[in-house]
Amino acid sequence: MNTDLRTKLQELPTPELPAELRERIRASSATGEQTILPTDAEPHRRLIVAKVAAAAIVLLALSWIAYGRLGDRDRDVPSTASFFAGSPFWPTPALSQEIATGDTVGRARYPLLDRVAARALQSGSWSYRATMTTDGLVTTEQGYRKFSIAPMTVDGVPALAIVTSGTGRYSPEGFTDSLLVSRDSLRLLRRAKRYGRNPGGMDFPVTPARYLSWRDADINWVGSVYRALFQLTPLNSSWRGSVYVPWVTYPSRVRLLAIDLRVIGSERITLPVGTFDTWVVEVRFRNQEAPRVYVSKTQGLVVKIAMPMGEDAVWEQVLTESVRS
Amino acid sequence: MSMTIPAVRPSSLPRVDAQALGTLYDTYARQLFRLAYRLLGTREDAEDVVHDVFVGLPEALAHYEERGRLDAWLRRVTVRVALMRQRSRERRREISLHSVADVPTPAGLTPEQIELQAAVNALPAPLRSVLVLKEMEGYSHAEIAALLGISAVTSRVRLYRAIRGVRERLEDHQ
Repeated sequence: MNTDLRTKLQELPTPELPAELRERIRASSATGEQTILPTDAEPHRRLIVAKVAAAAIVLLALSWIAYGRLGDRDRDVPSTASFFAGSPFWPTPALSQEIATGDTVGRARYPLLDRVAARALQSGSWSYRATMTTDGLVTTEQGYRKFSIAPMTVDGVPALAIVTSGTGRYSPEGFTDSLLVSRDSLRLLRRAKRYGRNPGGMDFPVTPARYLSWRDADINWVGSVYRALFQLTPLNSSWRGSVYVPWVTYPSRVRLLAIDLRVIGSERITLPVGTFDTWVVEVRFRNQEAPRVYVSKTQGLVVKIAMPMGEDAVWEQVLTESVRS
Repeated sequence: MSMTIPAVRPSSLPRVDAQALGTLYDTYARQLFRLAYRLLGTREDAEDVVHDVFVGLPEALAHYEERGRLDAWLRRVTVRVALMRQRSRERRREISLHSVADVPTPAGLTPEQIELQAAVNALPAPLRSVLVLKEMEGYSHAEIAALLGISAVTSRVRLYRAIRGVRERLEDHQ
């Protein structure tokens, strides 16, 4: 801050302390008037909090042990591998039609997107720059994303390679997620994920199934679902649709997370790569605010994703390069 | 000014009598009044805050631990009481009765100081609080964050916006 302005602020005079205030306080005290002051947390209160927290941890641990011993409830749920084996490309807009499970998190509000035109997927590559902006003022770089679709064959079967790569806060050394899907049915044929120094990554099908977390899902919704889905699904001003995506929270426990999508308006967006007339798609899951996706009206191209992060910040991806092949 | 007062530790003085309270008042009331005035912008509100602080002091001191300076503790308490009053005032919409920029300022100000005071008074309460605590009272962003229940980053952003607001208003009046 300008030292001059700071000095001037500090030199602003304040009124004199009223002489009668002391007498007023004395009179209030004499009559027994009391106010409760917001002081620092008292030590014994902190001790109580610590004891309650310790008790909660013990209770949680006991519940976890009991849950493990009563784990039969998960016996009929398909394993991660078999779950993926029956699905089209993962995550998929048509997933919910193929998996008969009531274990869902949230219910879809809109018609399920169970029909997509596989042939409509176009080949090309698209690059995005990710940033985090706090209160519209402080912007920090959050890495990049690159999304590409290319034709190929897998064991003689016509296929598409859908590849998302990039860097980010959770993968500063980069990640690559490759989905090889049948060109006709979009059914998943093979999948490989690589995170930074983890060359093993994850291959499909995988045995034994490993833990996945919300981070896996998050990366793949943004990396694949929106971009592929909006190429396949023509939008209009009243468009609504829901998808279920797998949320694997335990090797033997697969849950389905409902995501509701709807067009809430249109907006012209100017980026360094060009100006786009877009549909603004609101994305909601579990009644939480989630990204808004800006999809070009003419090509079904995702040109921007904006995700609110708390009260004051927004995380964004914007298109920086588009190459159709 | 800084001092520690072992005399008010509960073990040595479980009850603060009128004389002790008077001593505390003589020592700290002026700076606490100034702090409250800067935060709230009106003499009446600042008086009420100092009143509430000193009336509640005997009870609060019974739980005071001598882990830091008493004046710093008193200032934290005063800031909290002032912020509570500010929020209460906003809930009652008292501020809508008149423009905050028109709140009377102390006599004897130069024209430049009157403009500066008006610019500070015109700031929204959240921005003004951070500006006062950081630039006029010398709190760190971490301390402000703890007092206001916000993050240190938010405190920095609010300070930036407050300074920008003050400067824009001053430029408008030149």
